[in-house]
Amino acid sequence: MLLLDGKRLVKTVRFSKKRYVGDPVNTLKILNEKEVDEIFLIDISKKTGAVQDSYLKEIASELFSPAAFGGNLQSPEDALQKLKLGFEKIVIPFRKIWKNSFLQKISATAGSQSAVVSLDVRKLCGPYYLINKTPQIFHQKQIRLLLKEIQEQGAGEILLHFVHRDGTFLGYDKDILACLPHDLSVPLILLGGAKNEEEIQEVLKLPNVDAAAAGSLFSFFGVHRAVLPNYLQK
Amino acid sequence: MIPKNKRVFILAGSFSNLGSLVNMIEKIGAQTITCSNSEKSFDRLVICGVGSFSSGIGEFSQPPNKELILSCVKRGIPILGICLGAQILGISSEEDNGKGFGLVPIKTLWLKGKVKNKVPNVGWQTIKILNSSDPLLRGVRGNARYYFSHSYAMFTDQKEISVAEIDEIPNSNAIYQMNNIYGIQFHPEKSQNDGQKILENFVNLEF
Repeated sequence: MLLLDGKRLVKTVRFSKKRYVGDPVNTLKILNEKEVDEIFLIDISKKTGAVQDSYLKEIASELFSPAAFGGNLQSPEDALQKLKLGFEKIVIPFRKIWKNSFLQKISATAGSQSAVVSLDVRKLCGPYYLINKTPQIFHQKQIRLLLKEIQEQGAGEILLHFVHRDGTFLGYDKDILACLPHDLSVPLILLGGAKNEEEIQEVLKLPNVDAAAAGSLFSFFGVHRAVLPNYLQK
Repeated sequence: MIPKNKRVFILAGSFSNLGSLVNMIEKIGAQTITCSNSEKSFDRLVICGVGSFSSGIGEFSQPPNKELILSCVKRGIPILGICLGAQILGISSEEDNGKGFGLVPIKTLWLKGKVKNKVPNVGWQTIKILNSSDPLLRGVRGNARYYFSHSYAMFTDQKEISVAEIDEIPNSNAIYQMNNIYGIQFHPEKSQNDGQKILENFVNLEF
């Protein structure tokens, strides 16, 4: 998971405290050499339009692995344009899937495999969560229903993002992992808090988890968290 | 050793992702030509497409694309269809009940209900090699993985054209070959070094 802030890559902790982690093209060249399985590139620039399509095209052509793009998408048409730049998938936030038939248009035009829906969950207290900053509070068990709802709406993949773990190295949210649905037919990807390679291997053994993503784990190295793009050894 | 003078024409649908493919072929050492180039002499044709079958066949059967494909078939220029680009060369597809070019005896079927895997079948997978002497697989490592992203897969009654099947989807064609036509279901341009090896072998083919 790479976060784009203008022409810089940054990494956050719980969605704030941006830290510069490198030049996008250089970082991608390194990640290619490490044979990364997949890349998510999310534009988190405050100013819409800070990242030009011509620049994204330049970045995308460096990618020899599948990649998804998300963030600052203006419309389904804008998202479809991003696919043409060389990304395989579009990441659509859950709150936007109905807006202008966003999800439906992406699935119908480019195929459901191009539509990743991200569900951002933030822990409140105990078993309660906020979904994509909505005022509504969800019990962890309801997240199961939400994931199924997203699947029914036509998502090709679901990215379950633990915002309260972002950049913390505290591990994925085990409480939610314990109540994931067993009968999703679309792949489920976890993101937010990956601790180390062992944890990733461990969650991948779960029958209802298809993939594990990480940002900080692959951006920082060693006890002092020095900036160094790295990847799984095994 | 890749001869520097190999020229690869890339024929792409409007949704296709050319950047990585162009970069990877150029990294191998061959030249690439796309529709926007005025230069039209080449010795390899790559057809790549993403999107639905009807949108793909709609674009590829329009002039001058159709004529370009058919003339390469006739002249024996090596052709590589990638994903939708491979499917449209077959007979038909269950997607949109589409009719393909009919150049290879391949039928494209919806995976739902046919496989235990999730549909769409997205991700890194291994292939089972059925014809290890095929030059497209020369020097490919044993546990090579390729990136797949599809809801429909290619099947055939004529087993001799199957070069490799997708490990997790028995009888499906990960790679087919008939005369000068190759079709592959995965995306070599997104399959890191393993994909690059396939493209390198394709550029290097001698018929």
